[in-house]
Amino acid sequence: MRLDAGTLLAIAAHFGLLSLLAVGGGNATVPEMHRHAVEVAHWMTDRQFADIFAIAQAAPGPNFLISTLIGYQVAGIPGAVVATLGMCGPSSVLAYYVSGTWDRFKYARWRIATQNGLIPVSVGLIGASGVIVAQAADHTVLAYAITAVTAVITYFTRLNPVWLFVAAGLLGFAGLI
Amino acid sequence: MPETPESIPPPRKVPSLWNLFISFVTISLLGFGGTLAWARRMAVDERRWMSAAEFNEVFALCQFLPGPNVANFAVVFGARMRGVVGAICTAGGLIVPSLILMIVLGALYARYGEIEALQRILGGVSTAAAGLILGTAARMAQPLLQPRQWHGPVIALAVLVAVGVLRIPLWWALAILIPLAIAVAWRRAP
Repeated sequence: MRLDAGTLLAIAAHFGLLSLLAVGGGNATVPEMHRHAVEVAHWMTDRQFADIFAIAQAAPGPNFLISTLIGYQVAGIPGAVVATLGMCGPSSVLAYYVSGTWDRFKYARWRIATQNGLIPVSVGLIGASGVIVAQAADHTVLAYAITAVTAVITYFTRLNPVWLFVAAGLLGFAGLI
Repeated sequence: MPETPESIPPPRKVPSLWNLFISFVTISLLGFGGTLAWARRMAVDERRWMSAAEFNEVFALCQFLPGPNVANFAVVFGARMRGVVGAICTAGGLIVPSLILMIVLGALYARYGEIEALQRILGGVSTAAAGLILGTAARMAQPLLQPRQWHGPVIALAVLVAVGVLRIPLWWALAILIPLAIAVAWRRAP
């Protein structure tokens, strides 16, 4: 763990930028978090990233809290706080100011075009997050199979994901994955 | 905005700052698998601070804006109820309890993450977590699949390949693909 001002500044800059690039919510930035944390800054290994992603998904609370765990991994509690504020701060300030004027442009063509245009972009980003986490997490045929089955169940049913996590965790504990 | 008959609101009170804070603490701690569904339940069904139509409008804005959707929702909702102080209460209620929980979990992981049994469990959970995201993406893609509307799926696929497979830095991919996506939507906008 590193606790110097430079590290905290790097964490703030990384997540502050991601906050404004998160088209389609927090999970849309998972590919960039992975690229930066694992490949560029070497804050953690591929496996640690998959673990942290699993913890953030399985715990209650908003999904973007994976940023908190990455921050903690890099620089302890100060890192966790800085990462979380970085991830929510810039976008929250933007949301506050935009929400006041948004209704005025309800029927403006640019607003409709922007809104419609961003939908497929965010779908693609969430898909990319899934691909990247699957590559980090899955190393056996059975692991890929569980990912596929979970995806199919999520697509076709409204089963609470907690049960899928419990089942997969038990399979893992039994040494089958 | 003219009120349509079905959006005539049930009797509504202005929530106190404490109520706003506590509501979002609850959302934060109960919100397994997508906090926004819980936010809707609280704001529309239980507390009746917002009509369903109002919620949909705010929700569309929060999805459109960059950043975590539920954090955006907390800020916009709090601001509409009680101004900037309200926004701080809702965002604080959403973030602080989960932040503390994550720090505890992060500390446990740092301390015990190398234990073999825990490794196996987390390995299993992460395979399911990946599947959850892929299934969610497939669900989100469903409305894009319409007859003779090829542009949506093509753009989504281009983003997926660029960011997920080729692993191009996010800002490069978005700098090229967002203007393209908006230009396509512009030509089709009424």
